Amino acid sequence: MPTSQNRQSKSSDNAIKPQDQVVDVTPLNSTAQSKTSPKVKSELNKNSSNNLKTSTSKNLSNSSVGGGSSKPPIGKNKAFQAKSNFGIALGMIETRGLVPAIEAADAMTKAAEVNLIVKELVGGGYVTVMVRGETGAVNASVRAGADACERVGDGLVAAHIIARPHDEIEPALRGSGAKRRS
Amino acid sequence: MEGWRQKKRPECLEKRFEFQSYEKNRDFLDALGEYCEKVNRFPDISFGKTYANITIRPEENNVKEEISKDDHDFASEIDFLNKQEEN
Repeated sequence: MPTSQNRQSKSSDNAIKPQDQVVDVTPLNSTAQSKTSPKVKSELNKNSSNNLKTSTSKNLSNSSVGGGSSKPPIGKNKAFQAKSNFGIALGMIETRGLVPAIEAADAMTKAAEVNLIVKELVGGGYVTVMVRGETGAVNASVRAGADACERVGDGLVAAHIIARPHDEIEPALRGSGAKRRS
Repeated sequence: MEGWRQKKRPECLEKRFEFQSYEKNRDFLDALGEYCEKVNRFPDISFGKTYANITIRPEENNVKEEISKDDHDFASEIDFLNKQEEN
Protein backbone atom coordinates (compact mmCIF):
# COMPACT_ATOMS: atom_id res chain seq x y z
CA MET A 1 0.00 0.00 0.00
CA PRO A 2 1.48 3.31 -0.94
CA THR A 3 2.02 5.70 1.93
CA SER A 4 0.92 9.29 1.89
CA GLN A 5 4.53 10.39 1.41
CA ASN A 6 4.93 8.23 -1.66
CA ARG A 7 1.64 9.49 -3.02
CA GLN A 8 2.85 13.08 -2.56
CA SER A 9 6.17 12.55 -4.32
CA LYS A 10 4.54 10.83 -7.28
CA SER A 11 2.05 13.64 -7.78
CA SER A 12 4.85 16.18 -7.54
CA ASP A 13 6.86 14.33 -10.17
CA ASN A 14 3.88 14.30 -12.51
CA ALA A 15 3.27 18.04 -11.96
CA ILE A 16 6.60 18.94 -13.50
CA LYS A 17 7.17 17.58 -16.96
CA PRO A 18 10.44 17.94 -18.88
CA GLN A 19 8.74 19.93 -21.62
CA ASP A 20 7.63 22.49 -19.03
CA GLN A 21 11.19 23.29 -18.06
CA VAL A 22 12.68 26.44 -19.53
CA VAL A 23 16.12 24.90 -20.02
CA ASP A 24 17.17 21.32 -19.64
CA VAL A 25 19.99 21.76 -17.17
CA THR A 26 22.35 19.18 -15.81
CA PRO A 27 25.28 20.56 -13.82
CA LEU A 28 28.43 19.09 -15.31
CA ASN A 29 29.72 17.52 -12.09
CA SER A 30 26.54 17.01 -10.17
CA THR A 31 25.69 13.48 -9.08
CA ALA A 32 23.19 14.49 -6.43
CA GLN A 33 20.78 16.48 -8.54
CA SER A 34 18.57 13.53 -9.49
CA LYS A 35 18.28 12.61 -5.82
CA THR A 36 17.52 16.09 -4.57
CA SER A 37 15.20 17.31 -7.30
CA PRO A 38 12.19 15.15 -6.28
CA LYS A 39 12.46 16.61 -2.78
CA VAL A 40 12.69 20.09 -4.24
CA LYS A 41 9.69 19.40 -6.40
CA SER A 42 7.65 17.95 -3.53
CA GLU A 43 8.15 21.13 -1.56
CA LEU A 44 6.92 23.33 -4.38
CA ASN A 45 3.44 24.70 -4.80
CA LYS A 46 1.01 23.22 -7.32
CA ASN A 47 2.03 25.99 -9.77
CA SER A 48 5.30 24.17 -10.19
CA SER A 49 6.81 25.79 -13.30
CA ASN A 50 6.58 29.31 -11.88
CA ASN A 51 8.11 28.20 -8.62
CA LEU A 52 10.93 26.49 -10.48
CA LYS A 53 11.80 29.80 -12.10
CA THR A 54 11.50 31.59 -8.75
CA SER A 55 13.76 29.12 -6.98
CA THR A 56 16.14 29.28 -9.91
CA SER A 57 16.35 33.06 -9.78
CA LYS A 58 17.26 32.82 -6.12
CA ASN A 59 19.96 30.28 -6.82
CA LEU A 60 23.22 32.16 -6.45
CA SER A 61 25.19 29.63 -8.44
CA ASN A 62 23.33 30.43 -11.68
CA SER A 63 25.57 31.47 -14.50
CA SER A 64 24.69 34.37 -16.77
CA VAL A 65 22.97 31.86 -19.03
CA GLY A 66 20.21 31.41 -16.50
CA GLY A 67 17.76 28.57 -16.05
CA GLY A 68 18.06 25.43 -14.00
CA SER A 69 16.03 23.45 -11.57
CA SER A 70 18.66 22.87 -8.92
CA LYS A 71 22.40 23.19 -8.72
CA PRO A 72 25.11 22.31 -6.29
CA PRO A 73 25.72 25.11 -3.79
CA ILE A 74 28.52 27.55 -4.42
CA GLY A 75 31.91 26.16 -3.45
CA LYS A 76 30.89 22.54 -3.65
CA ASN A 77 32.11 21.79 -7.15
CA LYS A 78 34.86 19.50 -6.03
CA ALA A 79 36.08 18.63 -9.50
CA PHE A 80 36.86 22.26 -10.20
CA GLN A 81 38.47 22.77 -6.79
CA ALA A 82 40.68 19.75 -7.31
CA LYS A 83 42.08 21.36 -10.44
CA SER A 84 42.26 24.87 -9.05
CA ASN A 85 45.83 24.38 -7.85
CA PHE A 86 46.89 23.75 -11.43
CA GLY A 87 46.98 27.40 -12.47
CA ILE A 88 44.66 30.31 -12.06
CA ALA A 89 44.88 32.10 -15.40
CA LEU A 90 41.71 31.94 -17.45
CA GLY A 91 41.41 31.75 -21.19
CA MET A 92 38.13 32.01 -23.10
CA ILE A 93 37.22 31.66 -26.74
CA GLU A 94 33.81 32.44 -28.15
CA THR A 95 32.79 31.06 -31.52
CA ARG A 96 29.72 31.09 -33.66
CA GLY A 97 28.72 27.45 -33.85
CA LEU A 98 29.75 24.30 -32.06
CA VAL A 99 32.15 22.98 -34.68
CA PRO A 100 34.67 25.84 -34.42
CA ALA A 101 34.32 25.67 -30.64
CA ILE A 102 35.31 22.03 -30.55
CA GLU A 103 38.16 22.74 -32.92
CA ALA A 104 39.32 25.56 -30.66
CA ALA A 105 39.04 23.41 -27.55
CA ASP A 106 41.01 20.64 -29.21
CA ALA A 107 43.74 23.01 -30.32
CA MET A 108 43.92 24.73 -26.93
CA THR A 109 44.35 21.51 -25.00
CA LYS A 110 46.93 20.18 -27.43
CA ALA A 111 48.95 23.39 -27.59
CA ALA A 112 49.76 23.72 -23.90
CA GLU A 113 49.14 22.21 -20.51
CA VAL A 114 45.73 23.62 -19.70
CA ASN A 115 42.46 22.22 -18.41
CA LEU A 116 39.26 22.63 -20.33
CA ILE A 117 36.82 23.67 -17.64
CA VAL A 118 33.66 24.77 -19.41
CA LYS A 119 31.85 24.56 -22.69
CA GLU A 120 28.91 26.91 -22.55
CA LEU A 121 26.10 27.36 -25.05
CA VAL A 122 25.28 31.01 -24.58
CA GLY A 123 22.45 31.32 -27.05
CA GLY A 124 22.11 32.53 -30.61
CA GLY A 125 24.46 29.82 -31.82
CA TYR A 126 27.38 31.16 -29.81
CA VAL A 127 29.58 28.76 -27.89
CA THR A 128 32.21 29.65 -25.33
CA VAL A 129 35.00 27.37 -24.21
CA MET A 130 37.20 28.14 -21.24
CA VAL A 131 40.54 26.82 -20.11
CA ARG A 132 42.63 27.33 -17.02
CA GLY A 133 46.28 26.83 -16.28
CA GLU A 134 49.53 28.67 -15.83
CA THR A 135 49.49 32.09 -17.46
CA GLY A 136 52.02 31.34 -20.15
CA ALA A 137 50.26 28.11 -21.04
CA VAL A 138 46.86 29.76 -21.22
CA ASN A 139 48.34 32.51 -23.36
CA ALA A 140 49.75 30.05 -25.86
CA SER A 141 46.70 27.83 -25.85
CA VAL A 142 44.22 30.63 -26.52
CA ARG A 143 46.31 31.85 -29.45
CA ALA A 144 46.41 28.33 -30.82
CA GLY A 145 42.68 27.89 -30.29
CA ALA A 146 41.91 31.16 -32.03
CA ASP A 147 44.07 30.13 -34.95
CA ALA A 148 42.30 26.81 -35.26
CA CYS A 149 38.73 28.06 -35.09
CA GLU A 150 39.42 31.01 -37.37
CA ARG A 151 39.59 28.56 -40.26
CA VAL A 152 36.43 26.67 -39.36
CA GLY A 153 32.87 27.73 -40.02
CA ASP A 154 32.02 31.26 -38.97
CA GLY A 155 35.20 31.34 -36.97
CA LEU A 156 36.37 33.33 -34.04
CA VAL A 157 34.09 35.83 -32.36
CA ALA A 158 36.30 36.82 -29.43
CA ALA A 159 39.12 35.53 -27.29
CA HIS A 160 40.07 36.73 -23.86
CA ILE A 161 42.79 35.98 -21.38
CA ILE A 162 42.67 37.00 -17.73
CA ALA A 163 46.01 36.45 -16.03
CA ARG A 164 44.71 36.72 -12.47
CA PRO A 165 40.96 36.37 -12.23
CA HIS A 166 39.34 37.49 -9.01
CA ASP A 167 38.03 34.72 -6.74
CA GLU A 168 34.53 36.14 -6.94
CA ILE A 169 34.09 35.05 -10.53
CA GLU A 170 34.74 31.37 -9.76
CA PRO A 171 31.04 30.49 -9.54
CA ALA A 172 30.51 31.93 -13.01
CA LEU A 173 33.10 29.57 -14.44
CA ARG A 174 31.25 26.38 -13.66
CA GLY A 175 28.83 26.59 -16.53
CA SER A 176 25.11 26.00 -16.48
CA GLY A 177 25.22 22.61 -18.16
CA ALA A 178 22.63 23.83 -20.66
CA LYS A 179 22.40 21.39 -23.53
CA ARG A 180 20.76 23.55 -26.10
CA ARG A 181 19.76 27.20 -26.27
CA SER A 182 17.45 28.73 -28.86
CA MET B 1 53.60 55.43 -24.82
CA GLU B 2 50.95 56.48 -27.27
CA GLY B 3 47.31 55.60 -26.97
CA TRP B 4 47.42 54.02 -23.53
CA ARG B 5 44.60 54.97 -21.22
CA GLN B 6 45.04 54.82 -17.48
CA LYS B 7 41.89 53.74 -15.69
CA LYS B 8 40.93 53.63 -12.04
CA ARG B 9 38.93 51.08 -10.06
CA PRO B 10 40.72 48.91 -10.76
CA GLU B 11 43.89 50.66 -11.78
CA CYS B 12 45.12 49.55 -15.16
CA LEU B 13 46.56 50.67 -18.46
CA GLU B 14 44.59 49.80 -21.58
CA LYS B 15 45.21 50.10 -25.27
CA ARG B 16 43.53 48.78 -28.39
CA PHE B 17 45.68 47.73 -31.29
CA GLU B 18 44.11 47.49 -34.73
CA PHE B 19 45.40 45.39 -37.58
CA GLN B 20 44.58 44.99 -41.22
CA SER B 21 44.35 41.22 -41.09
CA TYR B 22 44.19 38.33 -38.66
CA GLU B 23 47.69 37.27 -39.69
CA LYS B 24 49.19 40.60 -38.61
CA ASN B 25 47.22 40.44 -35.39
CA ARG B 26 48.52 36.95 -34.78
CA ASP B 27 52.11 37.98 -35.45
CA PHE B 28 51.79 40.74 -32.88
CA LEU B 29 50.27 38.37 -30.33
CA ASP B 30 53.02 35.84 -30.92
CA ALA B 31 55.69 38.48 -30.40
CA LEU B 32 53.89 39.70 -27.30
CA GLY B 33 53.63 36.16 -25.99
CA GLU B 34 57.36 35.58 -26.40
CA TYR B 35 58.18 38.85 -24.69
CA CYS B 36 55.83 38.08 -21.81
CA GLU B 37 57.45 34.68 -21.29
CA LYS B 38 60.86 36.37 -21.29
CA VAL B 39 59.98 38.98 -18.65
CA ASN B 40 57.47 36.74 -16.84
CA ARG B 41 54.80 39.39 -16.92
CA PHE B 42 51.41 38.73 -18.49
CA PRO B 43 48.80 41.38 -19.28
CA ASP B 44 45.15 40.57 -19.88
CA ILE B 45 44.56 40.15 -23.60
CA SER B 46 41.30 40.33 -25.49
CA PHE B 47 41.38 39.88 -29.22
CA GLY B 48 39.30 39.25 -32.28
CA LYS B 49 40.17 38.98 -35.92
CA THR B 50 41.66 42.42 -36.45
CA TYR B 51 42.11 43.89 -33.01
CA ALA B 52 43.76 43.21 -29.70
CA ASN B 53 43.01 44.96 -26.42
CA ILE B 54 45.85 44.83 -23.94
CA THR B 55 45.24 45.56 -20.28
CA ILE B 56 48.18 45.98 -17.93
CA ARG B 57 47.35 45.63 -14.25
CA PRO B 58 49.64 46.43 -11.33
CA GLU B 59 52.02 43.63 -10.49
CA GLU B 60 51.24 41.21 -7.69
CA ASN B 61 54.06 42.54 -5.54
CA ASN B 62 52.72 46.09 -5.81
CA VAL B 63 51.22 46.60 -2.37
CA LYS B 64 49.42 49.81 -3.27
CA GLU B 65 47.95 48.22 -6.41
CA GLU B 66 48.66 51.35 -8.40
CA ILE B 67 50.14 51.78 -11.83
CA SER B 68 53.86 52.32 -11.48
CA LYS B 69 56.78 53.23 -13.71
CA ASP B 70 57.41 49.53 -14.36
CA ASP B 71 53.93 49.25 -15.81
CA HIS B 72 54.54 52.23 -18.06
CA ASP B 73 57.83 50.71 -19.20
CA PHE B 74 56.05 47.46 -19.96
CA ALA B 75 53.49 49.38 -22.02
CA SER B 76 56.28 51.11 -23.94
CA GLU B 77 57.84 47.76 -24.74
CA ILE B 78 54.53 46.50 -26.11
CA ASP B 79 54.30 49.58 -28.32
CA PHE B 80 57.82 48.86 -29.53
CA LEU B 81 56.87 45.28 -30.37
CA ASN B 82 53.91 46.52 -32.36
CA LYS B 83 56.06 48.90 -34.35
CA GLN B 84 58.57 46.15 -35.05
CA GLU B 85 55.82 43.89 -36.36
CA GLU B 86 54.42 46.68 -38.53
CA ASN B 87 57.83 47.06 -40.11
